[in-house]
Amino acid sequence: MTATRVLVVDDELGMRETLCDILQDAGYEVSAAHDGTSALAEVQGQAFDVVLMDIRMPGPDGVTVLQQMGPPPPRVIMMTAYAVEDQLRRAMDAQAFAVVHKPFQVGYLLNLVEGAAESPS
Amino acid sequence: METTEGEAAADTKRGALRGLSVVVLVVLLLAAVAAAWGTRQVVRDQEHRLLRERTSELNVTLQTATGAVQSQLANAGTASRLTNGSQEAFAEATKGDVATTPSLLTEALLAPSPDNRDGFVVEAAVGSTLKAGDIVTGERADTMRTAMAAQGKLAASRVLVTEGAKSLGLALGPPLAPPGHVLFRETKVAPAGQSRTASSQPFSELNVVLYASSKPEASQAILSTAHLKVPLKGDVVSQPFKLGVSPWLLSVSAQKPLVGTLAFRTPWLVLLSGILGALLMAYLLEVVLRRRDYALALVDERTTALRSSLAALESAQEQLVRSERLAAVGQLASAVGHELRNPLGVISNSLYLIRTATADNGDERMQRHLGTAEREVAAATLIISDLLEFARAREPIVASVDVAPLVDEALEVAPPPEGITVSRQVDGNTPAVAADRDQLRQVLLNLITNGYDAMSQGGVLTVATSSTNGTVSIKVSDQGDGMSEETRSHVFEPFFTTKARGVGLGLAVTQRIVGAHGGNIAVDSRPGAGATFTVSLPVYAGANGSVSE
Repeated sequence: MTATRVLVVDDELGMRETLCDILQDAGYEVSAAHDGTSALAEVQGQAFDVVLMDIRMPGPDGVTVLQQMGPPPPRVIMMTAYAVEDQLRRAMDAQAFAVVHKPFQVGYLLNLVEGAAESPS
Repeated sequence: METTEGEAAADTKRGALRGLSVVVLVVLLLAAVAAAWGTRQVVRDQEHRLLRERTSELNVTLQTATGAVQSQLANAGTASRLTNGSQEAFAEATKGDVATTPSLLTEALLAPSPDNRDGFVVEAAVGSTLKAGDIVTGERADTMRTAMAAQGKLAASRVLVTEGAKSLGLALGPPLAPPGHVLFRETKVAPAGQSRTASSQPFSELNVVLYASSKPEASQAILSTAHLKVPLKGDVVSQPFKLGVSPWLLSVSAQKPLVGTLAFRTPWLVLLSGILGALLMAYLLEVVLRRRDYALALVDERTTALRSSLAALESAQEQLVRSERLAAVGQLASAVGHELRNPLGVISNSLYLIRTATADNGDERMQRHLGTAEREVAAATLIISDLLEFARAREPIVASVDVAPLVDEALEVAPPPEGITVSRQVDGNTPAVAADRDQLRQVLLNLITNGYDAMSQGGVLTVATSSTNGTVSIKVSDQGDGMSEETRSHVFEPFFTTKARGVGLGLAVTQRIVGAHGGNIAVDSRPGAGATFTVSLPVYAGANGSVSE
């Protein structure tokens, strides 16, 4: 069985690096992108099981990138530091697998990633 | 203050104005009385003048009547003179008088008595009281003596009373009587009031009394109209009435006003209409003044209302400015809060990586420091979450949330400090609630960290869940000092805090979130007996996000 492939998309280096390390430690095959445009390129280049993506980024934001992914769309967990209601609604409407608020419990995030990887697409 | 002074001034003005209408009333009443009095004087003068004129006319008429008597006597005298004192001729000349005048008692021709110095001797007579040869003395003789000296003018006696009957004597001397003789006639005087003036007669409107005296003596009244009390009262005109040489008196008053009843009542009409006019004027003035007062009061009232609405407007404006400032501060706070969440997230992730990397080396101090760092990051995160929630309340995005793992996560994020143990009494069969996971997590973190803070001396924090009738209850109990009634009543107010540190938003935000979920939060606490917060939330009913009843 091949390892679950996860793409981490965040414009902040610190967040990107710590998430990559955490997911690698958890046994995932991790790639990273620093904005929406390169994330789309990554998704077109290879198939990912789960995408972990920040909503607010320079260029196209997370929700826009999610809408342009697929078909078939990967399971996307959106991350946000901004608990703004319409943003959350947009993410839910775009069929995001989940929305997590920064800062999050690492254990909770890992549970979500695992759940996303196992859920039927 | 201004309003009170204004009202006082208005009251004073009103008092003065009421006085004005009273003054007007009094002045107009006085004017009415004066006009009535003046009119009365004019009418009385007119009445008196008319009465005087009528009296003069009556006087002339009566003079004419007495002239006839004089002529009769003179005729008798002429007859006597021509016949040189013949008894027969005198009787012949006077019998007509006796026949036509029922009141005539006697008519006689007399001469001074040669025997009696004061008396007169009857030479010829007709009628009942005297006969030839009688000697007449007394008042009758006095009248005859006056006539002898009167040069042919009549002389009248006063009223003579003979055995209760009243009579009047008239005497006429020379030259109408034969020289050295006197003619005498005596007539009955009707009792007062019996000689009447019929209403058709020209003087019917007058009360008339004729006195055989120059003074209005009742005993000398020889002629009067019906039912009169003699002497007359009221407006009486008395004129001297010359009967020959005797000074008589004619007294007249009016039965009815000579100027006419209406004219006579004019003063009263003037007075009445004056009073009515004065009352009407005062009333109208009062009405006008009252209207003015009402208008003034209305203006006062409106002014006060305007002032108060202006004040309300000003305070609303201040409120607006204040809330705008607050909103600006809130905006800043939420911007800063959001920006801090990213670094906190990175720190949190880094701490996780450090903890997993150092888990094997058994350095207990390192692990304790890591725990402290994690707790502080969680505390900072909670403060920011509360601030953001308070600055811009977010409607919950409701989904099915299992309570048990959320409690575990909250306890993991906020592990108990040293000295405090957690008693977790969460029923695994607790149904999922309809909630915004992130917001419910914030509620649990607030209640749990509050519980820790309440137990500075250590103790047990109990987190328990239960469910009944579509409601899930989450109880968080501490063994701290408890709350006074006063504290408990303010505990959900924003910025209210009893802690040394903290903003005081936790419970306010908690209550708001629970309310937005259609739930309920209650606190039970007594001083020294700890505190229990109970959150009740509706059970999740379906995928369409509807909340169960």
